[in-house]
Amino acid sequence: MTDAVAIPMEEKKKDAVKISQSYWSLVWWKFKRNRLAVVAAFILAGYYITCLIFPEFFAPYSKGLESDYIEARPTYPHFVDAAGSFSLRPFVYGLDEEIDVATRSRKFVVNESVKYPLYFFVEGEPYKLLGLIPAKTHFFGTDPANPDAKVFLLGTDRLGRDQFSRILFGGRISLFIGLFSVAVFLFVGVTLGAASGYYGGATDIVVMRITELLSAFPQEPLFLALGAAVPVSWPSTRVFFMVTILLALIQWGGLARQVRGLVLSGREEQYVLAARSFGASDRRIIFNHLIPATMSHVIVIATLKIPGMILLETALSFLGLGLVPPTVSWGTLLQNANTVRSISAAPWYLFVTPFILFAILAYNLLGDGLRDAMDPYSK
Amino acid sequence: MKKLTLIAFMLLLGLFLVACGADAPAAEAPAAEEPAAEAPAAEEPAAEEPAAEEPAAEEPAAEEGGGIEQAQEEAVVEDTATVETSEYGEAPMLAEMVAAGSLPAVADRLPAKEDIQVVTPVDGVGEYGGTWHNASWWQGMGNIEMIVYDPPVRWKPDYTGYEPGLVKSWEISEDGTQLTWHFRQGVKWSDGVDFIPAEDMAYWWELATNEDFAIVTPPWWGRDSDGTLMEVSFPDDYTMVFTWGEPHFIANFVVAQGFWEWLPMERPKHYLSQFDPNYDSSKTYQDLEAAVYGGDWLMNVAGYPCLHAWCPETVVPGERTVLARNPYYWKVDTDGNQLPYIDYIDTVLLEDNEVRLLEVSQGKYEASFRGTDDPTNIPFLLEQAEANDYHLHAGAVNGAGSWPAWNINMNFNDCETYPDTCEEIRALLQNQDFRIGLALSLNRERLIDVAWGGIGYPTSMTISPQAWHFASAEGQAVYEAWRDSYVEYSPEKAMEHFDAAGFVDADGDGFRDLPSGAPFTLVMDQGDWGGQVIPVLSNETYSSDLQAVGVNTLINDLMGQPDWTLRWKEGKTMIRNSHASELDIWTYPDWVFPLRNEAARAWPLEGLYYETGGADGWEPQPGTTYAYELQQLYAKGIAEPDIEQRHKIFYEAVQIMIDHGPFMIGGSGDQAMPVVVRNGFHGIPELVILGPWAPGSPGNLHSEQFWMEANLRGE
Repeated sequence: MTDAVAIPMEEKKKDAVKISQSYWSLVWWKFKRNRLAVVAAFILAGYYITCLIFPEFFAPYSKGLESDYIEARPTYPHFVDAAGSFSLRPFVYGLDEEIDVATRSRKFVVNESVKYPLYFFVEGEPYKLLGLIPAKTHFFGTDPANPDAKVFLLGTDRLGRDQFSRILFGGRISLFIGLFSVAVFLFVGVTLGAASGYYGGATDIVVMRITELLSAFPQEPLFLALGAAVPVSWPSTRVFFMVTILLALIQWGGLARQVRGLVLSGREEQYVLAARSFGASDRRIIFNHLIPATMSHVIVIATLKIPGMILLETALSFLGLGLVPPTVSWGTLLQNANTVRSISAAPWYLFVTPFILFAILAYNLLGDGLRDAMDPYSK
Repeated sequence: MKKLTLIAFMLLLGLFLVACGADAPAAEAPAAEEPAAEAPAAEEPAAEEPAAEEPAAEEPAAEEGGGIEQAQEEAVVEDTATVETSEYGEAPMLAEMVAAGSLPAVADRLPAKEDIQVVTPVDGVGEYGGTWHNASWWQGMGNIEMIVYDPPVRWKPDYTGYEPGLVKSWEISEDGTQLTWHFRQGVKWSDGVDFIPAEDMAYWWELATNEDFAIVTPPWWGRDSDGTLMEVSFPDDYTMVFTWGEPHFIANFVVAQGFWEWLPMERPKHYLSQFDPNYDSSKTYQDLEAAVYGGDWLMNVAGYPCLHAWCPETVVPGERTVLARNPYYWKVDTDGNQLPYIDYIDTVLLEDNEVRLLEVSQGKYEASFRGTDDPTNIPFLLEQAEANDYHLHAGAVNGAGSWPAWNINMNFNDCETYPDTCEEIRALLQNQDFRIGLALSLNRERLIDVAWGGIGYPTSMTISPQAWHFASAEGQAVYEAWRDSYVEYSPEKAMEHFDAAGFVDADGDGFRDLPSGAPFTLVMDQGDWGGQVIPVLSNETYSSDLQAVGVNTLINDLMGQPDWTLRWKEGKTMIRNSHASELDIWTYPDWVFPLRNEAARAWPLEGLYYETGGADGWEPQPGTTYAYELQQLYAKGIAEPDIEQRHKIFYEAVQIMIDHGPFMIGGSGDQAMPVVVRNGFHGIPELVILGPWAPGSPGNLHSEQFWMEANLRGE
């Protein structure tokens, strides 16, 4: 029986290392093993770099540049031209406008005799990187010396503006709204939830009744009502922040209840009792002990909430009750596709959807990965 | 409590918006319509109307087979057309009822032979039967009211003037103070009761002058300039005489405008007196109010006896209205067949533009005149035409003088927002150089590209090119001169004109400032006049054109908001978008002659002065805003009995618009309109003008002679 106890020192050390792994490094270790979640994280990083931080650089044109190409079809990059010859440098064909007065139709047709090569890091419209650094280099574009050369990867809208560029700029608003409103959502939800759970009594009753009231309303109509109350005369930036805050204020109830539940059980834990018997203040107990204990839960909820916020903003702006033009967001861009005419004449308005779709999908996968990772002891 | 109501309302609104998808502010405003307020509501002061008057020149006697005997200058106009046969045809559905004994024979239902109106069918004598399906976007169903347009004096089908309808003839006295209507004798209400003008029209006048009952009021053309009401008398059962203290040459033609002038006058005494407390003391005025219209013209009252080709039979508020043929209708075709050809008009309410467009594109409506009224939908509709067995009517146009257009406020008066600079802004807006600068900075080619898919022609603001004033060679020249004034696109010249107006960039911020150096932003009010898409696109392009010549602009989006009208009425607007179309300037003068407050296109406060007889508003001064000169010309026009002379007075007014304008800025000219017609639907003449509602299209085309082939009748 005794020989079984003889464990070599080496292994004991190994175990010790294993045991001394912090919670967060376990989470990281488990997260890395979820390939999908890692890919999703990279996709999101890509989104945030191209759309949120540097859209001026990645977009070939500014969001407001009005060209003569009105509702022009997309010009896709080619490597092989009509004659079959290959060039390493991609190029786009020129577009010719054709108006048929009898049928009232206007079309832009591809003119295969005109080729505009695409270049990387071309000089174009000047802009301010991050709103500070003046620059005019764009990630890609056509020859700036040739004013006829244009590239519209995803077509143009009714004012002749490049849709690809606008989708990038729209992503800035939509992605930011996701982050910002979730931050407000976390702040309100966690604070009220923790207060409610910790103090109980009247505080608990009041907070919980409010959350119940909020959850009793169907969300979209409630938002529509609040959105309609935003004065039309407000400037677009103020409307933007109002919309963001409204998004958060409608949704915090669910989070508050979960945090309350966690705090409710947490406050009876030995370490809280210990802290209390040492004379720690309520604030210290809540912020140093109870809330950190709920963090793993909260982070997962937040990650899964961001795509919901993005979608809600998109849906409301599409309906004309969230953001309104000239603010460019994915929702306002989708508004272009809300008439029969535009779907029939310019189906490329729908190109906004894959951008939204992949952002949402990536967030959901990331959230799933985080949820698994946050519970590193599960099998 | 109020807040709760507000929230409840918003929730409902929200649900509604979710349900119907797209943006739906003011579901009513159809793209090519005049704003509702313009037509029926506006009360005109008085002193108006010239008319067809030439010293009692008698009609050249009736010719065989007739037609409408009329020369424009003549004071007496009579419909003398008669039909050869005395064997009248009737619809199979009525023949069955006659056979069953529930309806008198057709000859007994029609008026006396010489009083029957004979309509020449456009596509030959038609076939009876069928249901004409339609959609409307509002409970008032104005687009359907237009189908049953049937006033005593009516627009000719070719839009060249007026002809007798329910009246067989009219006479205007030499001095223009008396109008006599000779109604057709033997006409019956749709329930078979005789229409006796001395009873029924007298009952209308009784209601109109009953001050306890404000739902029916005297018409705006019924008053003299001092507010005195006209007198109405009935020398015999079928003759009605209007008498004023001043010449009212135009009153006769005002009644021909749209459905809103005549419908309020169509009052069956035998029916309404059942609800009238003056006839039945158990009733109240609320009962009468419910009976007269149910709140929205006549379409909402099932069983309301009418004189139209189709009368309301089934009304499901908010859903559907079915009009059934009037068995007592008083018109026949050239073969003596009683009209209308079509049995029923079945209209559903579809508020959402896109849903209606889809339904139209699937050929669900045998003929859709205003089911969708956005010309940019034409390519889509053409794509679907073959599959759904319809075509687009080739000759359908909007009749727009300019669409979009912009109205400049010559009476700027917003001293609340601009306490220090309001007078300077007013002076700037009144400065001709400034206005020319505005006109020359608009890139109309780009506007046409953006708004109209590249199809259209640049124009300044005019009334409809098809207006009868422009029919002559001289009129055409006047129209062209007007159309081409200040229509050039020249940023350089625009900037010169701005400089000449003292409108320069004083502080070097890139935007022009008021002559005193105070910064200036041109506020462009944006409303749904001209549709919900075109104003947005055109304001956006115009705004960037203006910025390019150094005018700082702000688009003030007031779509569907009361401020849109309010700001204009109070003179707070600087410029706003509009849609210019009018076929007869004298029956709707405000495009050129500022006579009213809201309706005036550039002089709201000087119009208010005229409207209120000087009680309110600004008194026009000669040589300033030209409102004075135009009002003088209007007075001259209405005292002129000869139509041709009256056209010439209008030309003088146009010359003022050219010499001292622009008071309104034009964009793009007329557009084709999508009229979707199923193959097998007949009777629509070539030219159809749908923009201005005043001519009552398609009712003025004699919609009662539209007919459908068997495939559309479901046989």
